[in-house]
This record gives sequence, structure tokens and C-alpha cells, in this order.
Amino acid sequence: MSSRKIIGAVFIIGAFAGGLYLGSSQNAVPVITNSASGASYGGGYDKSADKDVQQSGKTSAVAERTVVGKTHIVNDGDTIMAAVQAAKPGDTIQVMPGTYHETVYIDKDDIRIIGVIKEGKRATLDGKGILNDAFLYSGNNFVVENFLITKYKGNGVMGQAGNNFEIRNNIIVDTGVYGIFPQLGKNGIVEYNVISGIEDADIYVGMSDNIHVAHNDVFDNVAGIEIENSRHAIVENNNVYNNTGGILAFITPGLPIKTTYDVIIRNNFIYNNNHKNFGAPGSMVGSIPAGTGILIMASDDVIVENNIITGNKTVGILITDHENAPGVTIDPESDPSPDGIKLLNNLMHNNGYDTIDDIKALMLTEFKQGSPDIVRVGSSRDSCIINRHRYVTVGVNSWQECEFTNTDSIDTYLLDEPVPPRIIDPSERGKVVYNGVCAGCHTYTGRMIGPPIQIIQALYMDNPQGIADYIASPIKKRADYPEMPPQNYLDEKTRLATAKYLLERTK
Amino acid sequence: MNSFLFFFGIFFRTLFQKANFALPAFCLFFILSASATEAAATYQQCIACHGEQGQGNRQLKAPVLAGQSAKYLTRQLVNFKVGLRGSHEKDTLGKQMQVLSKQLVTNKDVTSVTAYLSKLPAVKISQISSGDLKNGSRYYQGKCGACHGGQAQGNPAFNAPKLSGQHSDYLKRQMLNFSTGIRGTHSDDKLGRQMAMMAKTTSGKELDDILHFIAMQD
Repeated sequence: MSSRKIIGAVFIIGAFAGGLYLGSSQNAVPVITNSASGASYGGGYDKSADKDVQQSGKTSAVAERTVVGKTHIVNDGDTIMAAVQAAKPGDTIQVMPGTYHETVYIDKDDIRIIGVIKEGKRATLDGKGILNDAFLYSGNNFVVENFLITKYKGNGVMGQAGNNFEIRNNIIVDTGVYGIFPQLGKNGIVEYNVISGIEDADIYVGMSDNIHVAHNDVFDNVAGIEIENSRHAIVENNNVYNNTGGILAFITPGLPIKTTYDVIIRNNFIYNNNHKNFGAPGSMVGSIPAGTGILIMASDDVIVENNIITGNKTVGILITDHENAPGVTIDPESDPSPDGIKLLNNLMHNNGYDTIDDIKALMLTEFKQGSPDIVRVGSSRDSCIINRHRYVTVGVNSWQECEFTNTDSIDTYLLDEPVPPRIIDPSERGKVVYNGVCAGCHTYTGRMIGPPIQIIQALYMDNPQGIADYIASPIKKRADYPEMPPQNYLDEKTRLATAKYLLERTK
Repeated sequence: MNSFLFFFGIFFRTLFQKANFALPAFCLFFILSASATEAAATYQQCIACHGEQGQGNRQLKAPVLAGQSAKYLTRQLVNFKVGLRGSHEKDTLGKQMQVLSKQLVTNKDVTSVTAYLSKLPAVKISQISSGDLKNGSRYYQGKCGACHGGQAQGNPAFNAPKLSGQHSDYLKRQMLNFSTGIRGTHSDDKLGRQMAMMAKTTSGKELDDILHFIAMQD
């Protein structure tokens, strides 16, 4: 018997049935709620409780410049990296149209790299299928705009523990694993980017806080937009189509930061996300059923509002706990249940028209047929929905009516003032790199992009130098895993510190 | 007879004339055939337990050998011979293998018989296993697949043997051996220690589900 066929089984029906409440009000007159007149969401992010926040009335993610720095011009034939090396904090780098074949590392604060668009011609970073990353930044107050990025194997733009960032107006095509990937960042904007052809996530917000993802055009990827192990994020006004899964808010078990909560997904077009899953088989992302509009896994307090969700063949919105999700290991330190999910008005139409057998079976437990818009499987506490009668649903009969109908009172979760630069004690260098770099692809126990840390620990045991040497110049050893990019931009001491930290992890 | 020799002579000369390497290649063929025959003969002492086709014998607790990598089989035979495996007092089956392995000469019998076994076609065995395949898949991928391959096909880059097509009860016995210190403890057995470290991370139903997943691989 082919295991792959069976692995297609997504849900444990028994577990679902255990949490099922066959509501008695199925045939009652529905409660119609007008979202224009209801209360606005009052929960969410409390800025006054955040020690990083200085209160004022400003709204940009990066620090306002009080002194204008130097502007460096990069012409076709020069390298952007040389300009970054010459730049000081506060400087701007303008990159003229042309083709640049390089990886740009930015470890200084307050650098802005702006592509100059001249009559439609952009500064193009072309990895030619050889290089791994276009932009890797670890500095704070970083801005990157207006580039065309293509043919990299790893990331288009990756943040590694940089706070206060703005990534906008970039076109990113066929760049390997992640298009835009801020990792371990606080207070950042990802907007007006066009991204496609990524084998994991187009926009992957990883272990970050206070993020605004808006006005992006996201298509032809495995995952469109991921909010993963992150808090206080708004995903709005994006055009998300023809991915395997459209917008995802979830907890990946085994990462150093264990929670995702307080996420608003609103005003997005999320349609026809039916692309064949081309993620690595056996990986978490490789297990997303094609045709999933929104996936909420184990995240708490996720609000879904005013999206247009159509033509997603498996389901419009899928809400699951860890236990019932395929390819996901359990992390005892992460709450596996999606609690406090709030489904407000959404236009849902023609979803679930070719759904998977497991969902059909779930529907039968509620004596339902048809094409499912909303499916909840596994446990979920304190969740609510309005106007549920509009949709074909499974598993939400027991949910409360929401006490509010909109999120109009929340414009942004960005901070009024940029957060101060991260102060890294030299003794914590290994930890910061582990969290900011390694955890982008490796979880402790599960298969993400790279092999689990636990396995690396077994392979290397008491040999941190072996890891430090390997990550500087990795060799592909696993046919079914992407090739690891070299981390040789980290100095030897840092690599060794990271390796030692990695070997000490227990979760 | 004469005509045969004549024909053979012409054939030989033609080959030699057509390509300089033809003669060595031809000789090599004979040598390999001879060694394959020798290896098959050497293997005769193993078939009582491991079967004529290397298919193993569940009742005798003898694992499948056919189609396993020669490198892995060689390492295990040598480990038995030098005592890295099968020395623990509770490892009764390992002790049996230690005795038998000592009848083989390392650089001759061992290498030839393992090469022979690795080339035997994989044998379809009847698996006795049950479990939760979805759970088995997630934990197999989380704990095993990064070394043993996504479909348990093995990965020489990690010296990780093929697990698919192996008796589940053999795999379970070895997992328990690894996790309880019967196997993979010797300081010279680095690969065994790696496996022991991972074996300690799973047990009970989770392990059974993983084994079920492996049993379901082609």
C-alpha cells in the first residue's frame, strides 16, 4: 500500500467528534449581524504594557532621521556590497538600474537601500541559480525598496534579528525557499511587493512582533503569507491567489519562541489557492492541502474580517490544532489549540468544491453536505463567529456570537516609536544567531526546511567544531531537503558559539 | 572441443584488437563471476537463519539482508567481529552473530559476501504491523527521515541503513537495544552512539507508529 495515499489523511475524525457539538439551532432563524453598526474589537495589543515602547504619535517603522547622511550611488557594474561597506549609519544607497549578481549583507544600523526605477527598468539582483540570498540584514532601521530579485536559491530578503524594517515595492520571482522573511524582528512593514514562485512561503514573518503586511501581490507559491510564531501582526489588503495555501497563521512546534497570537487578517483577496503543493514531501509546508484559503493552526486570537475568499477548492478557512495537522510534531511547550479565533464577516463563495475525503467525513458527522467554507478540527476554546448562517461550516456550531463586529478601532500594530536597537551581549552571540538564523529553517523536533536540531545533536554530539565547519561550507547530503546555504558571512568564532548553543538546546 | 577453442581464440583476439581495454574488462568479468560464486558459497553458512535470498526469518529473529547497503553490512559484520556489537550480556542474538562473524575473514569473506547481499534483489516480505500512519509519518520525518531518508530508503551520506523492507520486530528490537544501552555504547562506535541518542527520544505508541510508517514504505 502506498503510504503517500494514506498520508493524505489530514484529520483524525475521532478527535474532531470529541470536540463536536451538534448545535440545536441549525434550523432556527439566523442571527444577522450588521458589522457597520457593531462594536469594534477592543482586545489585541496593549502598547502601554510593552516595555520596549516609547509613547508618542509617530507611525513609521524605522527611526526618523534627524541628520541626513551621505547618499552612495551604485551603478551597473559596481557592487551594492561595496557601497554597504562604505556606508555609515544614516546613509542611503541608491542602486541604478542594471543587473547585480551578489549577496548583500547589512549588519549596520540605519541603512536604506533604494533601487532607482528608470522608465520601468529596475536594479535587478540575479542569483543565477547559484547564490542563496539577495539581501540579508541584521541591522536595525533597515529599508529596502524597488528591487527586482530573481533566481536565488534561499531568500529574497531575510532579516536576522533586525528591528524596525521596511521592505516595499520589490518584485521577487523564483527565489527558492522564502521571498521576504523577517526573522526575529520587531516593528516592521512588508508592503507593495509582488512575489511569486517560492517553494515555501512568499512572505514569512517568523518569530516577530508588531508587523504590518499589506498591499502585496502574492501568487504561485506553496504558502502565500505566513505569520508564524509571531504576535501583533496585521495582514491586510493583499492579493493572494494560486498558492497551495493562501494566508497562514500558525505555531510551528519546536522553535525557540512558542506562541502566535493577536493576528488580524482583513480586507484581503484570497482566491483560487489551488496550486499543487511543491513543498518538500514530509515537511510541514509540504503537508498543506492544495486549495486552502486561510489556515489557522494553534494560533490564538486570530481575527478574520472582510476578506474575499473564493474558489479555494478544499476549504475557505481551515482551523486546526497541532494534533490533527499532518507533518507536525507536538511541542509540550506550545499550546496546540487555536483559541479565541474570531471570524467576522467575510465574503465566501465557491470554496471547498473539490474538498478532501477527510473533510467530507467531518461534514457527515454534522449531517452536512456541500462545499465547506469553514472547517474547524480539534479543540478550540473561546472562539466566536458572526453570521455563521451564510457559510457551509463544520465544527463551529458551538462557537459563541462575537461581541464585536469589526476591527475599525485598530489601524496598525506598528509602534509609535521604533524599538531601540537590540543589545547583544557577546556571551549571547550564539543564542541570537541560533534564534535569528538557524531557527528560520530548523525546529527542535520537526521537519521544517532543514533537518531537526535533535538529529543534528545526535550526529555531532560533542563536536561543535564539526557543525561550525559544516555551516561555513555545507554539502548537500539529503536528496529530499533543500541545500543549506553557506553561513560563511558569520565569523568563525560566531559559528562556533552558535554550534555550541545548538548542541545545548533541549527544546 | 577444438572448434570451441578456435572460436574462443578468435573471439578473444577480436575483442583485444577492437579495444585495448577489452581484455582487462573480460578478465574482470571472470574475476567478478568467480568472486560472486565464492561469495554465494560463503553466504551458504548464513542461509539457515537469513534465508537463501537474504530474506531473513522473523521466527529466528534474523533480519532481511538482501538489498541492504554493502557498506552498512560490512560495518555491522566487522562490529560483531571486533566486539563493538553483540558484547552486551543481554544481547543474546548479538552474541550468536559475534560467533558466526568470526568465521569470516574481514577483507575477503566479509567484503565479498556483503557486496553479494547488497546486489540481491529486495525481497517483498509480509509485514505484521499496525498503528497510526499519520502520527508515524510526522514522527518518522521528525526523528528518522533526515538520516534514513524520507521513505526509509537509507542514506549513505550518513551511513544510515535502509529501513524499508525490514521486519518491524527486528527494527523494534534494535531500537530497544539502542535505547537501553545494549547497542551503541562503545566509544569507538560513533554511528551506534548517534543512533542510541535518537533511539532514546521515542518509545511506546509513538515508536510503534513510526515502525508502522516504515513498514508501509515500498
